[in-house]
Amino acid sequence: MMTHIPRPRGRLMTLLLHGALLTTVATLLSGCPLIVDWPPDDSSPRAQPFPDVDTDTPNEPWDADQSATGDVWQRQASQFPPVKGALVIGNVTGQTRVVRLRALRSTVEMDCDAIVQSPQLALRPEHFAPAQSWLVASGRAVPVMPRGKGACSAVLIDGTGLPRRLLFWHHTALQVASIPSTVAGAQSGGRFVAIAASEGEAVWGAHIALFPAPSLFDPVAPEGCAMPSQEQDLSWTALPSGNQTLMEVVTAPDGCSAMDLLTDLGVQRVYVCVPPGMLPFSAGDDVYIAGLATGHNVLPVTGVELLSDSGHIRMGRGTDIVYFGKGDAKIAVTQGCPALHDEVGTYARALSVTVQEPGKAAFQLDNGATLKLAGGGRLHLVRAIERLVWDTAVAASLVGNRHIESVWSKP
Amino acid sequence: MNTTQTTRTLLLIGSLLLLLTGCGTSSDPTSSSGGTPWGVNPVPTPGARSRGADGMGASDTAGWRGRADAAMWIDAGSAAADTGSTSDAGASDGASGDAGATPEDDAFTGGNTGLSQAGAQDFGLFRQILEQGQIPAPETIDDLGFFAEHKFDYPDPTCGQNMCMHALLGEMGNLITGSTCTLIQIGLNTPIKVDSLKRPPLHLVLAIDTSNSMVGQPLTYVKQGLSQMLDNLQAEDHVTLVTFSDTAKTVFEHLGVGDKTKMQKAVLSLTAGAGTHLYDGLFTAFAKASKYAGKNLESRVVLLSDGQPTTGIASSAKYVSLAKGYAVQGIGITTIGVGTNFSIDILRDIAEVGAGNFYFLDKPAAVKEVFTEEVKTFLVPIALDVKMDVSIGDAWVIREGYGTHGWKGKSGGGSVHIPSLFLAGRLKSDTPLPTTPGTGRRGGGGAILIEAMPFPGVKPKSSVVGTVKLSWQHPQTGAIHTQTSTIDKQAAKIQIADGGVFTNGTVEKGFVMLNIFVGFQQASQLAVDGDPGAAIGTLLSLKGAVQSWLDDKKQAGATPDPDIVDDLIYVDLFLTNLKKLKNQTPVSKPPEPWPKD
Repeated sequence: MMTHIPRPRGRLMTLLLHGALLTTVATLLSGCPLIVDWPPDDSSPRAQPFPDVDTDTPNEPWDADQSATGDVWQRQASQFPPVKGALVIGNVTGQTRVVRLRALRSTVEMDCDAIVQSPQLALRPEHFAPAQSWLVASGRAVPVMPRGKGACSAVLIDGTGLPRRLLFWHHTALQVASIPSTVAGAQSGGRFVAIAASEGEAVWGAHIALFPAPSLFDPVAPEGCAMPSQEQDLSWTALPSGNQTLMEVVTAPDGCSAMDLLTDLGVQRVYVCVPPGMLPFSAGDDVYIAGLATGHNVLPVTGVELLSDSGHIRMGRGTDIVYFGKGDAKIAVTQGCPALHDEVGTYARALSVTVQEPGKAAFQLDNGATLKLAGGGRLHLVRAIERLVWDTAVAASLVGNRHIESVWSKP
Repeated sequence: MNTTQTTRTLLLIGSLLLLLTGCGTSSDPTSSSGGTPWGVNPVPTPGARSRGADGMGASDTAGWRGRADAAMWIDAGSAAADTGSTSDAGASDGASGDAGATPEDDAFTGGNTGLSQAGAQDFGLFRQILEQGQIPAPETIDDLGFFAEHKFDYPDPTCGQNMCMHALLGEMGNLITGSTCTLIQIGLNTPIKVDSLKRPPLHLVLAIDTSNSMVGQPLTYVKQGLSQMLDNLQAEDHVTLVTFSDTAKTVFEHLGVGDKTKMQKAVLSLTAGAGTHLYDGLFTAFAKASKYAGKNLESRVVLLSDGQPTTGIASSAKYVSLAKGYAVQGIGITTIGVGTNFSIDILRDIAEVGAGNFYFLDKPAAVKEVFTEEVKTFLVPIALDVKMDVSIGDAWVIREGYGTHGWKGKSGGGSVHIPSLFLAGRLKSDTPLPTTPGTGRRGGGGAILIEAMPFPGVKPKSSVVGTVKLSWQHPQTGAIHTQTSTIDKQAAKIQIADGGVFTNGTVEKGFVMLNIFVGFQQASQLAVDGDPGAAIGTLLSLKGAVQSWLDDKKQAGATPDPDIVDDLIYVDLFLTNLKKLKNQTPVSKPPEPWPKD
């Protein structure tokens, strides 16, 4: 049975870097995800009290805070403890700056090697968690820790007067180290990303790990390359295994069917969503129901199989296409289709299945296509993608990068 | 990463800076040439019938389909001649009507009623969270719902069709950081009067969430609302009641108005408990609606829930596909959200694709508003499969579209697809609202706002900014109609002190409304990001500028816009709630809401 996927919950943490002290002033976003919860943490120490701010002041109340730059430049770097990080962001603007770091959500996974050339095309703002905000005094540097699973990290950065940018690096290239927390000490060593001033505006200094902000839109998909919509995905509620009598079946226009099964526990309603016309049963059928664990190439799938005198259907999702009878099925990246995002932000390449039945010509089955088989059955490829970036909180979680949903049925 | 890659990256950054100069980087090069008046002029009207011309009229297979054999239900009044073209020459804009106008069109009957898009019709959830002293997350407000609580006075709909398009233009410094924005505002209205709307008999299938999360106030709201709704039924209407918790149950089926007492009794005896099999409830309700669908009948599901499935199918995409599939068969859905632990996605999304509206009941007054006033309009659509194609001149680029979920940008413009449009009940923008904040605002109609930017270094060849082509389908006859408007900067009607110019006053209001929406979203996001000081800075800037705008209007003798005045109450409330947060970051200058890249 599918379970409700909870909305990802952000973690709210404001970190202040004032003078020499790093201070956590508020923690943890919890509770109703639609409300920004702010549990006060009165026990947290402060580096120094913020000036009382009269928020009713009509004109530019933020000007009052520009004094909080400290005396970093007049002090020795050794007076500030180093920080652990892969990189540091240092403020050389002469003014205190707010910097916001958005780490990759912990549920997001990436194929680092596949996206390293242009990570800004693969990642989307929704892949990132709510920010940690730092108040960085001029002359100080704030650490950036590795984020994300696997071999690489991605962090979205912006701040007061600073445009959004993407930090992306391989962990082998920038391992975590102890780095000075002052600009003076951190600038050498290739781990320093500068907030500089140019013509009165704050700008990001150049760095090998700094990329443009993730793009909001994909280029127009070439013909036949669009990502399949999740509206067409297979779906089913928990099905009782064994022999059951189908009392009634009602099918909606989108292909989802309500099936009332007479079981040992009485009449039980289950739902099965397959492409319209592929469920071969009618009321009165005795239906045998079993689970599926492998597909045509004996690779893992999760699925179900239903069989009656009226027909037979197999549906499954996993790293393989469902078994369809005699013949070969080779799965490969669809030629000529670039990687694209689907509606939940999964960045993926389309896959095709080349079906070779005995004595027949090979047929390339693409996303959303159906093949009539020699034995009278039909094989439909709902979705076949190779995922490069995906969020396991909103996209089906599978072992491996391949995600294939397919259904075979025969009246 | 090697040096080549880095160089490429830097070049790409450079390219982005060149192409996307932001809302405020430069004003239109022609606008400084001595106050060239701005306006929108009608384009020459095609004389011949051109149904489906330019691909606009071709109807796709998605979207709601009314039955062509359904009874006519709009009071056409005195039918005007179908000239196939109109020109709002006396007004501030011009829509050339098509060619596809057909005899069943209900021509200008003296009304001027706004039209609202399917989908969210309010920002009640955002408002409720503020009123409870909390900080709403960014996803609790969307532009479609927020805009729908704003009434715009468009020129009279004299295009000769049931629906008229108005494409307007405005430019003004934004109210948060002051950088300049250029907007195209597209408004839709109809000559049909709300009071003269005659609908066909209705089979209403009520799908009511009776799960544990509905215990208390949510179920009280539902009972109150349904009782009021039943009181407004007409003689030939029928009602089916489906409830759902762990499973769905049909309480009564296809009862006529003669059985109203029985219906009322069933509604008042509803109790709540157990889990939420939302999919079972929705599926059962659609199946019942489909069972009785027929000639001369409007079938509609009304779903009331907190939107949180706890068992069964959870994927919102499957709910969308279900609603979309029945919409194609002419069975629409209206969704109404209740509860303090509300999940917005499913209810909002299925209303949008299911030829219906989504409301959130944030307070007792909303129950009356939705079930006795909005109910007059949300049951039957006025137009279906509405498509707009926006083409922009070489000297401009389009950055974003607001006020619709159907905007798709592309090179040289963009397109909008709206599954269905409904009457928006409010008649005039300056009609005073009830004294309780946040009430009386539903039914505003909203607007579509498209943000255009001058393309750096390209001088416009003419004053024409772009063209908007509209096509839509008549719900009953299936006929396709088209209109075209050209957006031209030739005839400024309104110039304001800081150099802003507008086609007419309603664009100015659109501008202010967009800024408030963006300010709300930005403040919410900054609060989530742990920087309430910047959130306060954003709202303080916004508050000052909006108040100043209202003061200017007052000084000029105009009535301060009730919607904007009410918005400002929630800006203040948001500030109050932010100020209560302990461990504040310092109040800081707001980030640029329309950054340069």
